[in-house]
Amino acid sequence: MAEPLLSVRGLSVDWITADGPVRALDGVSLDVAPGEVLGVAGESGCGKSTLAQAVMRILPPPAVITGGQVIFEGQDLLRLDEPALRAVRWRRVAMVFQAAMDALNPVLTVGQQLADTQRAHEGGPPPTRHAIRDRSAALLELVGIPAGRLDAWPHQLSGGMRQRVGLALALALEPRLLILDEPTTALDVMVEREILQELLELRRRLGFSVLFITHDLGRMLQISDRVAVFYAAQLAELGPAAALRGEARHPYTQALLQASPPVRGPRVERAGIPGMPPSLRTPPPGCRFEPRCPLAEAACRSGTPPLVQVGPGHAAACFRVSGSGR
Amino acid sequence: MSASTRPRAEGWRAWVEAIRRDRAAAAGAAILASFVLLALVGPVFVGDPDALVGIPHQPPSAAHWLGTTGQGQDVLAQTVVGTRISLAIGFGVGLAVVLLGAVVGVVSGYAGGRVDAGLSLLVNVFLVLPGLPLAIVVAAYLPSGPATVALVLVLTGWAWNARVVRAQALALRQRDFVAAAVVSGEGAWRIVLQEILPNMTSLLVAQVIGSTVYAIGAQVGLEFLGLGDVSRATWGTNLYWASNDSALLVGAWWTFVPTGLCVAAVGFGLTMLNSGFDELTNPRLGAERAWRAWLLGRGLSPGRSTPVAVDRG
Repeated sequence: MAEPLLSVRGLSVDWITADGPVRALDGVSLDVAPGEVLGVAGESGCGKSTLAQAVMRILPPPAVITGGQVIFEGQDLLRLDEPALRAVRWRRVAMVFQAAMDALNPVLTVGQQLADTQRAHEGGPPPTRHAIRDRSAALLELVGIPAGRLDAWPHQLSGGMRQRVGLALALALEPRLLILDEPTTALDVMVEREILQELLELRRRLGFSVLFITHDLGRMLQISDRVAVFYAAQLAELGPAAALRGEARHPYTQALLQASPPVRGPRVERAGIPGMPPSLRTPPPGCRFEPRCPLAEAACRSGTPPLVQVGPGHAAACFRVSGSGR
Repeated sequence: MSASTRPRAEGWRAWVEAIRRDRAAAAGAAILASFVLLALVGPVFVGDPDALVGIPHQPPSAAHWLGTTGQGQDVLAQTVVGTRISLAIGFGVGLAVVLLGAVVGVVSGYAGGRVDAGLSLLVNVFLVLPGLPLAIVVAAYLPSGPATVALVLVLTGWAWNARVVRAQALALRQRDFVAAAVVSGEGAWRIVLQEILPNMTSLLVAQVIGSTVYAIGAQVGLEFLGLGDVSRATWGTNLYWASNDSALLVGAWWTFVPTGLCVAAVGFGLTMLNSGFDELTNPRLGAERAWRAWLLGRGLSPGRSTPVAVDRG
């Protein structure tokens, strides 16, 4: 793989509560190559959104980044001060939020918000109003909204259109990395599919990388180049989407894939995954998936399994796959 | 582990705890408590404030700790006795103004329609009435005394609170939890009292504190102008007499500085008390307390971006 655009190394995040710190992200390492779509999947509370917000350094209190590095374009974002971060945010790394309806300011028109984004971050001489308007119109058309809607207010747009505006806002400064935090969760599957296809097309044309966060593993395998599966604040498995689709190695990934029925084929009762994810306040002593794992054995209760290579560019954190293989 | 399952302090205990946690609030509470104590028991110890006890305009001495007024009365006695009426009017008016404003505002904002139009008109009429001049006119027509001053201050003070509460009620009414309450069959009064008003607690507490500070200041101002009962010792009439007796001309600073300091100290105490209540009525601020302490313990300060506490070796 070429020099990664984003390289997260051993990133840890703690929530500082009155009863002590709770680890929300535990030593996570992953890379995003230029032009690549990296999917991050997992259950609610597994740390996937925490990862996205930690990269942008926008985690709300009481979160603290307690370890690791976030190397973006050769710079450790964790060492940057406020002005330097501001230069990186949105210009180099942009984000589409889960609730686009809330990310848009209800008292400004779509055009004003697009213009504000361009003005707030432009480096050189300020662009003329005409230039900004032309660019805003182009951005809207880029995401499939007629330029005539520039003067529309957010409440006049449907959920899907607002999410597209969110995407246009994120692309306004031509970032190198786009973080999508469950961008289509609030949309129906038709609109979701449309927007994601548009996104892939834009990525092909503009060449940015995508960190795509979702709890929908099936959808993610369709559109990602590589996929990272999180479980209880840790990385469970990381590998090419094709490899995961065919031969996921971690029992959790396997169970996740088993849980979603294929469109074709015989009707089979889906088992799901029994139990609940562990409390991050009191995680299991050994492998965090052990209490729910069908393959668990004594060794799984005593130590945390390391992430080990199981194939080309494919790693899993499981004792049952790390030994001599199966 | 038991810490997380321990029930949160509720009712007045929660308020006491909030004040104890916050040093500024604790200091403010201590200042206020000492003034309340002074108002309750102080007059027993200092004697008759109206008695002519010495030569006029004597500076502080062993016999008269704060000196004597231009009439030859004891300044300490007048200041202490004045505390009682001044504080009673201040807190009474502060509470009454907020209560009236909250009722009118929340009913107006939640009911909407004609009720809102009528109440808003009333609020607007009171808002455009110039407060202090009206207070002076009303005070001049009614029999002078603390009750008149209180009435005048309530009359001129409630409208702004009502306006703010109405705006807040309008915003809260649209929130999903109110829609959920409507769907679950809660009555209008229950929604107003259980769903909407508790969300305004911090606003209402801030209003009580602000209105009390205003009431004490405005009352002192009215009485200073001679619109109170000048024969009764209050902070305002103390200043009225100090001015009448040319305290500034003869340099008798001790006749007005103690009263002025009292007014300032009560206002200061109330304002500091407010900071502790912010956290109580906003659970999120309380949750950040441990986080802030943790960061400060590592020489970091909370900023706009997520703090990084990584040991670089």
